[in-house]
Amino acid sequence: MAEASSSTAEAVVVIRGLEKSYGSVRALRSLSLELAPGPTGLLGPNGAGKTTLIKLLLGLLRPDAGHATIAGCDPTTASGRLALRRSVGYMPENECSIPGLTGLEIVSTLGQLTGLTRADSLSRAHEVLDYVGIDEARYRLADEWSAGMKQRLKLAQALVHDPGLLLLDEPTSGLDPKGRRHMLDLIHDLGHVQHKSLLLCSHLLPDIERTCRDVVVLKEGAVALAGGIAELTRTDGIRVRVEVGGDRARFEQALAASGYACTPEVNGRIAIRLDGRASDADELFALAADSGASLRSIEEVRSSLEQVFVAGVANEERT
Amino acid sequence: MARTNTEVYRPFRGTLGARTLGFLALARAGIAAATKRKLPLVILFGPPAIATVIFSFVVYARFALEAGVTPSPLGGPSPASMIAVGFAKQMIQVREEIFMFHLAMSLFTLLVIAWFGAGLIADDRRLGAHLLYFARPLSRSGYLAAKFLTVLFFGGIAVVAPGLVICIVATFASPDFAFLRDEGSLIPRTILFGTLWAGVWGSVMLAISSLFLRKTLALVASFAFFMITTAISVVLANLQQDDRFLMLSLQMNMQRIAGWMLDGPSMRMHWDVRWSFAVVLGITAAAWAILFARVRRLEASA
Repeated sequence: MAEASSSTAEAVVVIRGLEKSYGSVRALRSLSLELAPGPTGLLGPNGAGKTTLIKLLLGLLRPDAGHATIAGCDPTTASGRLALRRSVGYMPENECSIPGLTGLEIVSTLGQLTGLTRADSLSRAHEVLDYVGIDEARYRLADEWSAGMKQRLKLAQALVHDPGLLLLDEPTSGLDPKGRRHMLDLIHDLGHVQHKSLLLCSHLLPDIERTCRDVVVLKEGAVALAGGIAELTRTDGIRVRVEVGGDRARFEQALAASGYACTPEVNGRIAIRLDGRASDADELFALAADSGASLRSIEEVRSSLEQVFVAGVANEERT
Repeated sequence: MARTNTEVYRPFRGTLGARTLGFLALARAGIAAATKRKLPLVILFGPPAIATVIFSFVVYARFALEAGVTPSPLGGPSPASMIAVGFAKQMIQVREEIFMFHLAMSLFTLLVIAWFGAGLIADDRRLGAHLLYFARPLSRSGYLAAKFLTVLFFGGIAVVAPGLVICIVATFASPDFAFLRDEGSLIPRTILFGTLWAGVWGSVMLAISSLFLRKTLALVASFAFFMITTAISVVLANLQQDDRFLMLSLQMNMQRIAGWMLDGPSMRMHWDVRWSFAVVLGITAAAWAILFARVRRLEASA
């Protein structure tokens, strides 16, 4: 589970008081965070510091203050940087390719740069290209590939050395719906079936919701919200939707008199917040009976991640 | 979710090594990428190859003709002394052939280095290859070493290989390998000069490449650098009637060094060769300073 400023023994990423400024702009403000193994989404509006955080984790930037370890390595030292880049696979957001090489050669060359032998890198390149679904096109110059294939190539190169931790920056960027589904399937497979740790940076909340177990929301360089997606969205589980038969108006009045906040919905349903009350619905059934109404159905309402994100970023009370 | 039998993730069962010479893979990839397009190879390496054949033939012919000299029946110097003097002349002429080869081919070899060096960093930046490299255990020095080796490879083929071929022909054409015995030092000097030439121009070319996003712009800039410095130095030398102004041109300094290393004729270049070395060293140091600064930024922008 992603947690801000709490201790987790097996955390793959530990960040303590990380700060980074570009001139007068503070990209990260004393950021503290721990990421447990597993798929984690990194959310935040533009300028929240997501890309800066990834660059700091890879050792491409030096922090102004604070400390981070990733996969047990310190990215601020040369030896730590080299070691962590063997343990981490990075899929950049921007389009990238090595000029003049085929897809197979690109993946194989990058495998060798990471420490694979020539023979291993070649066989491994074939395996990961198979995995991401690039067939004969692997023998063509990658410069000529479509955007979707280039995106899959970026994932393949991140996987060539079989890293335990993957940093994926906007992996579905520029993909058509079919390509996006395929990419999300691959990421889900990596996170939930292959049990790789992922840090998925995306603006697309459904992508995170579909592929990640935990989420970290950054706002103005600090953690606005962090935790398991199931727990975060369940915080609105105390909101229920009931389908009412009988005297609906009296039931609503009875709810209001009892201090429940309720919102009428279509098809005769009512959304009711159970803030601070028992999550069982006995009291609702009693109120309905007293007001001459009947409850035909009752269901828990889960907020979407988008609601959680908006609440976290805007610091507003969720309704 | 994986759907077909090929789309199954296979964990890697081997081991990842800490490869200190990992940058060689990048150099190999650079050479492989550059050699995929055959037409530039033919066009760029054609003239040096033809020149190598011609110069080699001339060297061979000189020794062959000298070996066929017969003593005059009317007396004069002894045949042995005639042959010895003749061979001594040939040795000097072979030295000059190699020197002249470098002069004659300097523009072509420069073209080779410019063509293969101009895109090495510019194209990486344009296509975002640096994003992939610097997420790997590849240091900035390793990246630069790989790029430098790539340009050195092509420069070496254009400059070092022809000189070596001519020396080898001279060795086998001279009787009892006399060339090897009398002028053997010319072989390492040829290699050294060729490497120096390719290294210096390769460094300049990479520095120019790091300043641009497109290979074509880097090519134009490199020719501008060559033409402008050479033109200014020649004009000033002629106007001021002072050949030391030729030192403003990297090309002229390399020619001065070539003359010194290969015992070639001075050709208007009478200044102390140490000045030329100082200028070449200064320009190369500046090129590497630019390279390190630009690659540092490149890594941070990854």
